[in-house]
Amino acid sequence: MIRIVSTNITSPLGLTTADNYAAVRQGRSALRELDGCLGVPGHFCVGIFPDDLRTQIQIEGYSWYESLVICSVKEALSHTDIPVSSPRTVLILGTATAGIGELGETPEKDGLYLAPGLAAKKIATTLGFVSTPITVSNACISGATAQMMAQRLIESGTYDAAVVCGSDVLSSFVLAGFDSFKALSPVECRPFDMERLGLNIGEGAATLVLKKDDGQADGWRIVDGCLNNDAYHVSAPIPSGDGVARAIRKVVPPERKDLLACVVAHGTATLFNDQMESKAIESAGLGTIPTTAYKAHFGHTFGASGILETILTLCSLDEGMVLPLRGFEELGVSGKIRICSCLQETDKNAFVKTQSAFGGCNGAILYARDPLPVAAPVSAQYETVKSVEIGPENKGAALLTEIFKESLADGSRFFKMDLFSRLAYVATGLLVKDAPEGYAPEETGLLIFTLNGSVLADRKHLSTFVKPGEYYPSPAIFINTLPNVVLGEMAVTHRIKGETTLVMLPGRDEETMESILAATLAATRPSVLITGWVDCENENTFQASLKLLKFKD
Amino acid sequence: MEELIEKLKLQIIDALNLEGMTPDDIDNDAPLFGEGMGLDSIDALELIVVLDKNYGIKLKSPAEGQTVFKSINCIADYIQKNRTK
Repeated sequence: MIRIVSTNITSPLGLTTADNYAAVRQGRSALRELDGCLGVPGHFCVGIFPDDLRTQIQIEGYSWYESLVICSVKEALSHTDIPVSSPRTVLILGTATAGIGELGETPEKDGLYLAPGLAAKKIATTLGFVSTPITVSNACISGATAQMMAQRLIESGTYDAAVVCGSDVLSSFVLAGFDSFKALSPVECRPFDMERLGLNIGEGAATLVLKKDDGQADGWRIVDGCLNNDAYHVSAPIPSGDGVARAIRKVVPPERKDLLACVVAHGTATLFNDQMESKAIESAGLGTIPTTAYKAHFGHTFGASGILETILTLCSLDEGMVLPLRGFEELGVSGKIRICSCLQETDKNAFVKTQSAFGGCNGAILYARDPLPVAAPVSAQYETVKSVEIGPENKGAALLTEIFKESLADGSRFFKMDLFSRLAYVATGLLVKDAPEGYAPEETGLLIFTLNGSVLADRKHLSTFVKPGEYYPSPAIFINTLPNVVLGEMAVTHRIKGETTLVMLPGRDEETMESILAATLAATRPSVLITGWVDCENENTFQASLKLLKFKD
Repeated sequence: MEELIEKLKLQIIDALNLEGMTPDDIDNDAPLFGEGMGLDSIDALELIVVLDKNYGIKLKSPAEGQTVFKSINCIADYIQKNRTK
């Protein structure tokens, strides 16, 4: 277990946890309806920063994303004595799109764009961190993934403290993308309600300062977490909710059920997410526990959401309350769950937070105010069974198609993938092809490191809507701009149901990769893990160095 | 109509990245989703973009597209009746 020693929420509703909690308690919302937003045509309802707050947060020479993260982390750190400049303290960021709003169609048109790992380096240096910052990008579960990363690295002894910040900003890039998915509600979203029409996009940053559990009686802890993959579809959740249910069951076994004050759902208010979650919560045995969600206060803040919604719940349970689900009137899902529709008192001191994302990944984390008995992670022995190296070899991107046609041809979505996805996909395919004895895909995980991620797909997506009068954003291109989607592609094809995580670093730093790998193996103990470096700068500069590790008794 | 169908098939092959397929490979009456060509939910959304971009037809949701996207013939028929460009 690790302790939460300080928090911050920076959102359109305020710049501190206290201001945000007070606003939510009063039932206020950051959402507003706009005709046209950030140059994107159409009617939108978004959670956007008002100009006065934005001016207060924006730092000259820094992107809006970087400014938000710095603002949130600084405020959270001001309440603690954590030594930021110690090599034993690490900054971990969770984001779906980082500073994507600064990207141009070509590098010459870039604003202050930096690859997420490099933006993290700039932020870390500005704040005085000396260790290499880690950015996890698992779309909407980036917040949960970042917290799990912190827990593992602290429990493995790599660091004593971690500052975890989840953040995403509103941009024409994301707005046009979700518009092409027909996923946006033109009015305030209504999670789990009969009348729900889709999600609203929001923006913000939320920070947790975490340190090793010192055994003190009072104080919030991250008790246990579980991340996994549906292995169903890259953009649609498995209707049974199997992935989320598995994650909940892992962190809330029957003996912990009575401890729960509430379930804090992802609750995006899309037809499919909420329906799936209701089935998951019911089948995990939590249908009688009050369920709440907060998207109608902030919109979907992606990387920030998992952390922001956790912090609000810490505040509400400190008051002995479960907050009502704003926007909810009549149950519009078939899973038998109990939505918290009015303020409810509670004397319980634990809750579970669920999340789900594009790429098929899910997460559940259990938080408790008092220490709970948990098994300490045991270091696990793994052997490298097989490794694969793929570089351009003077053939460029055509090489990947050649390998796919000759060695894989598995009927997957290969030809719909961007270059980064194709590279990772082909490398993984070659590893899985001659799978070792005892290979169990449902107990297999993926841990991939990158610098540039999906930048080529990102630029292509921009070209579909930035020219005036030519607004045709493509869902097939947009889906590839989420760099973790390739993990979903691999999971779907190979039926991989373990944890799938994408880490973005400032460069190919073997030492950092090794410490993350060791901590991940010890905490998740998959029967097989496929891991390594995959990076793609352009059609002729790319590299995949992956290996398949197998658990050794 | 024949000309429209041929053009539409090429637009679909291009938009959905149907590698190695030619218009002749697509049966005008065969279902595009499920058993037929096996297109998925992202493809359905992409077809909405194809209709908007090339024919000025705006469908609001994949649900609305469900009857339209049954087969190539259905789409072509819908385009003829509703195109604005």
